Amino acid sequence: MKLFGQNSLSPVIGKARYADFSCAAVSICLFLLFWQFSSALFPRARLIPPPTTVIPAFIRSFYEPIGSETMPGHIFRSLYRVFLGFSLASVTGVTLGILSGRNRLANAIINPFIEILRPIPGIAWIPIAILWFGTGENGKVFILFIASFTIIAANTHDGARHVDPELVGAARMMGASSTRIFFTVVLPCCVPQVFTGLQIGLTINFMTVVAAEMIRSRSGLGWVVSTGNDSGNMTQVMVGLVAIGIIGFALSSLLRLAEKRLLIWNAN
Amino acid sequence: MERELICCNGLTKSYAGRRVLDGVSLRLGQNEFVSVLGPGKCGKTTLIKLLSGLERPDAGEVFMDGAAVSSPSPKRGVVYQNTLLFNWLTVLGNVRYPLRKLGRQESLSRAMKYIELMGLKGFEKAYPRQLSGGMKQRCGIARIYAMKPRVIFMDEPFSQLDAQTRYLMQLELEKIFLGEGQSVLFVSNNIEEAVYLSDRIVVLSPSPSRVVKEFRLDLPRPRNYLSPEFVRIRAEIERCLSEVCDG
Ligand SMILES: Nc1ncnc2c1ncn2[C@@H]1O[C@H](COP(=O)(O)OP(=O)(O)OP(=O)(O)O)[C@@H](O)[C@H]1O
Ligand SMILES: [Mg+2]
Repeated sequence: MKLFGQNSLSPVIGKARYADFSCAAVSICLFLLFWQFSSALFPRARLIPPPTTVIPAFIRSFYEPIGSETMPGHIFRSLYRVFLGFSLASVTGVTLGILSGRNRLANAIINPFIEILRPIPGIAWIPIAILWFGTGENGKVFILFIASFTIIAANTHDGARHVDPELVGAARMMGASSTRIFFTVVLPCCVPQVFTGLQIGLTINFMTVVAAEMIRSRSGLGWVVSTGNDSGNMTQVMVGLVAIGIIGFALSSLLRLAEKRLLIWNAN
Repeated sequence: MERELICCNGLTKSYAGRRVLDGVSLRLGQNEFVSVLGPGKCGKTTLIKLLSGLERPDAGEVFMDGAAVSSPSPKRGVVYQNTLLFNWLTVLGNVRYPLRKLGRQESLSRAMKYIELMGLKGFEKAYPRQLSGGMKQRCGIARIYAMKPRVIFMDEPFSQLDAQTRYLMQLELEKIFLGEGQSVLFVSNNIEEAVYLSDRIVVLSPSPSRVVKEFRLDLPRPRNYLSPEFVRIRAEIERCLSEVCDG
């Protein structure tokens, strides 16, 4: 039956991406130039070192240790803490969100806690974390967990609540069991919102780990910044900030990529 | 009519205090093709939801084979007006969804058979968002044909198809209906299509709606759109509908 027209899917090619990328590169170069010259011209800008100092120092940090670790070591420390706290928060947040989104009683029980805990910033928990876990790793994981599981739960809840009941009906009409409906209809419907929650949660966790490390730790990106500050080493502070920015960006890009892979069906 | 398959008595349904159906009674025989015509928004989709068990009536009952219908079942397939495909599954995934009990090989070959029949070959791996409205409708039809229910409820299934495709789909539907011994309850806004396909046509009034008239069509199949008998009955139904719409 050729009457139904061209039976193929036309591929979508994007040349625009390449142009976007070039523009971004150019604007970053211009900014570096501006930074370089302004630190020679304005007294306030002179207080921080220019890119010609920071970039070599940043590169050097990869083989010359700052404190007890080189930069990859610090990055690893911070990321490992994020990984632990974020994993814990994701599992808990998604579970609670689905429970409260699908069940009225569960919602009545869970929701007040989520909503009250949500506005408390992670670092506000530091005193309690120290009281419970001491100054070691567990306390940091606890802070990260409590800083992000609420936002993940809240987003998942929204997704789970708005699953189209007609789709659930359609699945039942096709003979699916409740378990199958949960995995093949309810979960896929939530996935976009879950990813929104994860994205926000990860950003919060990364910012929180840096802040927590600045207050009490012996390694990590936050520690690099705070010890640089303590010893008046502005170059080290800047190196730390650059690393934080780049790693944070890399993390959220990674999550976006995962989302794109998992949600091909949802692309616009 | 042969043996009775589905029957409902006095179906009444209100949404938010507004009565949509007001005592609709219908029967559908084994291997009978019944069309439901009515003015827009008169509750045709609501009627299908009640008959298939997707929703419960406020009053009245639905029976299938003498047993009360209280929930949806794969014995009663529904082709939805708004398709309701699963956006996260491909065309093939959607058509295979109801076929899980069949085993891999058989479900695959059966799904492919109906995908091809609906002219979707080459689009098995496409996601619904990549399809046109008409193609989504055909996918929604394929998954119900593949399921082989005892009765098929079709809610304006061809509304987004172009005339040529629509005609082909009508022929396929008639073939399946005649070949498999299923019953069909067909909602349409196209009188000619209903006259071409149906054994019986039921006309609903504007909501709160009831059955206002029934037409029995004894023309031999396949029917000829131009035969005097066909033209006469079509005109008669047209007149009846416009009277109903004018209130
Ligand atoms: N779930 C619902 N909640 C509230 N109102 C509803 C609901 N379903 C249907 N209605 C209302 O009931 C009336 C009949 O709807 P229904 O979709 O059954 O009509 P229809 O004959 O199928 O319409 P159409 O010709 O557009 O297909 C409409 O006014 C609609 O707004
Ligand atoms: Mg309708």
